[in-house]
Amino acid sequence: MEENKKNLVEVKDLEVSFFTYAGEVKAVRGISYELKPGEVMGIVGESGSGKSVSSYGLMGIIPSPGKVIGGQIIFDGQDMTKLPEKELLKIRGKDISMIFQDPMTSLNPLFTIGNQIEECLKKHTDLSKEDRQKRMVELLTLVGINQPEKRLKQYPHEFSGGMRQRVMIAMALSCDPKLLIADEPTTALDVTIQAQILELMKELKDKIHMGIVFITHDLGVVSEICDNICVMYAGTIVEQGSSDQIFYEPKHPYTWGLLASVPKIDSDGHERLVPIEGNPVDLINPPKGCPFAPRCRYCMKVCIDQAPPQCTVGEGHTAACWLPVKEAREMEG
Amino acid sequence: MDKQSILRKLNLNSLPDLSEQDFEPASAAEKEQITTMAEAVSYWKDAWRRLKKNKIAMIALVIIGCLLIFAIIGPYLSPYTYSQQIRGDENMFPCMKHPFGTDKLGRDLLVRTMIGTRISLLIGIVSAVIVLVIGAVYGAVSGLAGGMTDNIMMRIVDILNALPTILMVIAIKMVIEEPLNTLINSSEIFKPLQALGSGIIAIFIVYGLLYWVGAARIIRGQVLQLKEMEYINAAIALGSNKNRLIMKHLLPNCVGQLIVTTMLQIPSAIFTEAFLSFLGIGVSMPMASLGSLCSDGLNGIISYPYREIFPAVVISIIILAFNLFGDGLRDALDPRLKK
Amino acid sequence: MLKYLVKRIGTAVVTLFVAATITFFVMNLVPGGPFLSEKAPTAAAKAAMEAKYGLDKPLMVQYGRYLSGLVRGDFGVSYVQAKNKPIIDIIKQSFPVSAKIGSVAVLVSVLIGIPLGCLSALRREKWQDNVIRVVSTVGIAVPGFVVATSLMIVFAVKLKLLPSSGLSTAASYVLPVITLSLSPCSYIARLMRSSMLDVIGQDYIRTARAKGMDEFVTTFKHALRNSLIPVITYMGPMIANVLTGGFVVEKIFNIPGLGRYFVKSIESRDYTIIMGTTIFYAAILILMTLICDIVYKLVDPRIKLDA
Repeated sequence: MEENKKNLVEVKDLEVSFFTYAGEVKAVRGISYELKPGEVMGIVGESGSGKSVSSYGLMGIIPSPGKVIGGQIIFDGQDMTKLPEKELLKIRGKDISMIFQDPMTSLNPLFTIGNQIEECLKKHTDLSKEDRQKRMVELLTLVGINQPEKRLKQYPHEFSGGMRQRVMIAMALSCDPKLLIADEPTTALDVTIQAQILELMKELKDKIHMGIVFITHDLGVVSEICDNICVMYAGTIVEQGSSDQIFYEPKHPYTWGLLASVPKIDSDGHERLVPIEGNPVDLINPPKGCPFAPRCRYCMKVCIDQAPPQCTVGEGHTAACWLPVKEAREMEG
Repeated sequence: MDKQSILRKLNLNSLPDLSEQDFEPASAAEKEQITTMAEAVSYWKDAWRRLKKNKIAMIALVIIGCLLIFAIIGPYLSPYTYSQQIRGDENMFPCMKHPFGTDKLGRDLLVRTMIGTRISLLIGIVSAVIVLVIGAVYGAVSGLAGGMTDNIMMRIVDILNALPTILMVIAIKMVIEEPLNTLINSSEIFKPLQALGSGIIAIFIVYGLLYWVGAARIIRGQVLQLKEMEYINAAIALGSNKNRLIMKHLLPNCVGQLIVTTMLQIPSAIFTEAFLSFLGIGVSMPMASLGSLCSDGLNGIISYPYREIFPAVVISIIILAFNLFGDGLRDALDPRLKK
Repeated sequence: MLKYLVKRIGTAVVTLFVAATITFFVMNLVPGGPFLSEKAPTAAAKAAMEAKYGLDKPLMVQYGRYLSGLVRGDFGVSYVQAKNKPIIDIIKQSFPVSAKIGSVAVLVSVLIGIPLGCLSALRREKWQDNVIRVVSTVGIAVPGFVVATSLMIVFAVKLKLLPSSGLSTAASYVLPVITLSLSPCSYIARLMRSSMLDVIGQDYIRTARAKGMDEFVTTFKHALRNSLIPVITYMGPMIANVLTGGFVVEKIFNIPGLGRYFVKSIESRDYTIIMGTTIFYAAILILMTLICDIVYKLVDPRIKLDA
């Protein structure tokens, strides 16, 4: 039955480039994924892999000099890349909302948080002043902030990092969005606070029926909350599958690397983390072969000058790699 | 080796024809090949690349070059000297013989403007260097000493910063010029300085006394930042000399900022000198700076506007060119704008 | 807030004291003493004059007297230009003139500079931005005396549209105000541009956009107030500078303000006026910086609790 539900988001061959002085930086090079209502999609990759940029594309807020140069983003039946700015303004903050990485800088320091949340309600709803106040109190309570009436009158600097992120979440939820994009919501926080915020998001996910795109560079963070995961590298999705598939049957060497560098909470702490060696490739002149090849321990001759195919390696599980091809050949032969 | 079954199995549309050989592990050299193609660009190379893209800054650089030639080589090509009074050529308008005209004493204004440019540039560059050196030493000492010393030194900086600099410059300059004159004329040792004249030296001194605050702040900030760096602490733990270590890392870390401040200090010094000369307390006669030429030109501006116009245009171009180049340099060296 | 105020005012007083001290001792280094640059006819007459003004006392005593005079608002008397005229009277007479023309210039600079800077930032790399950047860079680069003389030649001498000196009519304000405000106006525009660009790149602007706020709200609610902060910091010294009169402007346009007095005292080596004006100017500068710092804290709620 789940399978028959309409997709909330369909990203098809999305390409985003930044036109800089040095040339065209191809930040996102043709990625595709789908998200159904109520599902959580994790997008995992290291910084510079294009994971944040692709989600800014969802909201139509790719910072200058970036541009969507190809592909489609279908949200609720509309192609977000073709909508005029005026229409986008109505969707942003209402149907799609976003929380950001650094709660310390994501709130305007010169306005009270009440002012900043109310702004959103004023723009997107017809609530009266009293109803807005009621709604804001309700929201702050929902995200676990005590004394909401008093807190609404305070400025961001009077909140701790974790509390600010709760404010950001309250703000994002204010107009009952259909889709929430969480761009590394826990990265800038202390470990204990991280756990609290994750716990809150999990709670909210069950309480409010909305799709979530959860962006992170930390596989450990997404493991519990996500239904599906895309692993991004150098602007492409290298592996895509359900959370279980990615964790228990990963097929791409990059995913192996990421998994090896996740600290395991249940280990005794003496286990060494294995970092992935080398640096990401230059996105101005992306290599014609596999972008991960220079850092790949299993790199083959074919990887260097042939782009890897999108191999289906399981039910709804794909990996862009030559290794499955090699395996298949060996089995056949 | 059934390609079709592989395609079906992996749900692929097509596959290139590949041999067994293609699936052999790639050598390190082959992997290297890709990385070298995407070689990381060094900071300086990157900055230069950015600067070259900045047309305005490059034009400014060319103009600065031309001005330097005009000021340094120009006077040698002229048949006149800057103090030569040519009888019969008084008050001439610009003509073939005197492209910039002459003043009421019959001095050729082209060569005087060239010399004026030379003096103004000299004042700008030397003052900027003096300020840089004093500021750098003060900032480094303050930052390295830390604690109470740093606190007191920075209070002094705050106070200096709050003083009305231009008035202080005027007051100090007026006071030191005469004793300075006596001093440099008193002994053979100061012979090289006599050529410059006490006016210019007084400007250097005053400038050095009052304008180093900016450079000091930059250096101190950088020292404090370096003190916090993990790698510095690690090296200290391993027994390195802390202060020497910081000095070693200091320069590469703030050289960009220093170049920019110095670049922007040059027009500021030229500006200040022009201002002083205009008020009649700049370089001493018969030496000319662009400011003093403008000041001279103001008398009789209605009958002989060219006397004012030429030096005024040159000084505006100098300040503009240095400002634009300094701005371009800042944009090129600021890594925050790298994206 | 109170603690901050006390601390800030304390620093201001110390700075003013240092300024007065430096000025006093620097002036006393002048060969032959600062107060009598003209030659007294005889040694006896000279001694009499020195005794009259207390110049025969040790330097430290003179310094003490001078400081206590300053506290009472007594800046001493002029020796050269206007014999025995108290300097405070000269300031009282000429400062309002400078202040009047200065405040017009400040107003013009702010009202033109800030919108231009915003426009420049919002139309980054477009033709509007390029024009504003070129004009403002030129505005900063061209020295005041060049601007003043060019304006005078064109509008007063050649076109005869505007008066070239004095302050008798409203039209006579035009040229001095343009000269006086060109540089601060250009500077404000550039400062505003870079600070606006900086603010636009901040995360909270991205948040505002992500909330669906349109360009107008994003710019004027979220960006403008934040980007005004550096401009406020610059305003202090600028107001002081413009209020006390561009020396050059008052000299060229022959305006009887404090600036022209100052220039005249330089020319006639009237050291007591130079000294008094310098200290007065320092006081204005310090006061303006103080006010701006306080305004700055008021605009930014982050500062209120700490300090």
